[in-house]
Amino acid sequence: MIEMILGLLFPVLSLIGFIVFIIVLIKQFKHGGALQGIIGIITCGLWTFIWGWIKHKSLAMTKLMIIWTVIQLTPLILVGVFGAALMGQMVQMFGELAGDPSLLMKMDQKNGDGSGLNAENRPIRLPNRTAAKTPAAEVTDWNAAALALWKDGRYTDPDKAKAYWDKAIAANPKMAEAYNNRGLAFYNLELHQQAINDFSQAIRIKPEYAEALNNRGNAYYALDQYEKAEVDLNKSLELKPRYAKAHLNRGLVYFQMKKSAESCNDFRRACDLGDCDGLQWAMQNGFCK
Amino acid sequence: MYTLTATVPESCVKAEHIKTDGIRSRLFSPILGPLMHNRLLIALLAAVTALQLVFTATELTAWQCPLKSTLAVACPGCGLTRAMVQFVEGNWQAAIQLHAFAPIVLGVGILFAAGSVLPRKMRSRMADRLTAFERRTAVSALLIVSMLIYWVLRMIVPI
Repeated sequence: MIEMILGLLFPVLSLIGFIVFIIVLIKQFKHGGALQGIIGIITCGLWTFIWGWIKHKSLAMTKLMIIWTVIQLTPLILVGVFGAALMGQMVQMFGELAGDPSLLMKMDQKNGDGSGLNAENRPIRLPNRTAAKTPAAEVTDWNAAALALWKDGRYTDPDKAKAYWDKAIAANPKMAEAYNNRGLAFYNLELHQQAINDFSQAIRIKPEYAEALNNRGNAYYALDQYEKAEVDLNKSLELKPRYAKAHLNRGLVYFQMKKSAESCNDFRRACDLGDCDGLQWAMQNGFCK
Repeated sequence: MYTLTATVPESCVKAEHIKTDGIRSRLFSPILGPLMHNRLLIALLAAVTALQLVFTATELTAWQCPLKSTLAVACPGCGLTRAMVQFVEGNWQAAIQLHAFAPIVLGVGILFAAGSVLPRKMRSRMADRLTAFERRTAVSALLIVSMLIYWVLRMIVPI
């Protein structure tokens, strides 16, 4: 009876796993580009799986990834619970159904009793943990500690920066800058939706906050939501017309929206204000004459 | 002492985030170089590769290809792990026969493992050089395209 149920369970799980793989793969092609998608296929879906977990928050597919993980882990768990011998029979059954038993699941043939436990059936002793005291543990100015991690336009350790800003926000939940700066840590971690949430909170506290609007525009840009990015960057530039980075970023948005003239104008304006990266790139690619 | 005045870091989008549409720029866009900047990610990839190798070598349940297990159709990467195991065991001819790209993929795995233990500055320099090399030669895209061609050939003429 158990064999029959499990024999049916495998094709069903396999099919669900395949459907989830296709959904995540489509997202990978859409958000990561064609090369990423192809790598996902040529790695038997393994890179798609890892990429899915990296992007699960920003692309709101946590549940999907949990389902896929459970499906991938099920054979391992079943080997432990029912033993390798029974699993072997099931795999053979499913292999016959799928038409290729040789390349499906492999089992631990060496596990003679099939119990999945070690010989003495006792828990494995883990090594003792030693935790070094981090420098930050003694720092009470979380603000300064987090800012010290900001180098060359990004956090050197975004996870640590996020943790510091968490503490700064806990100490003062009304500080717009702390939300903005934690948003940048999320941005560096490529958790774009969470970054947007933080930038939005900063803007709620301080509506004239041009930098937070610019940063939210960037996060929308990263999610390919160009219309929303344009709105934010327009607002940012209304508040701070000589903001070079916002001009550069709006230039990028216009480029994606195929508004070439507007894009070049913004790159030129950014360059006039001291940031020529966009214009240089555009000229190198024959895009702005 | 906690201070109220937070300095605002500037935003982080720069020219390297420019997304381009041209096929040439897509083909020449680096893949491995940018990955090398992320220590955690390359360590994870190296660990996954190592686990996959160990599980396959010991005949434990390794990662199952969704295409193969559902449709019984081999994907371009099917057989790679087994080929890598053969390669590591010194059966080079058998490895190449199983999957010709095994040594290259194994090399990438070793590169990730090495990159994950390098000091930050060295890793950064290595990543930049790799990025420039990929940009100049489109080597990653060429490898991927070759692998797809190899896959089609294998389907036509099974080895």
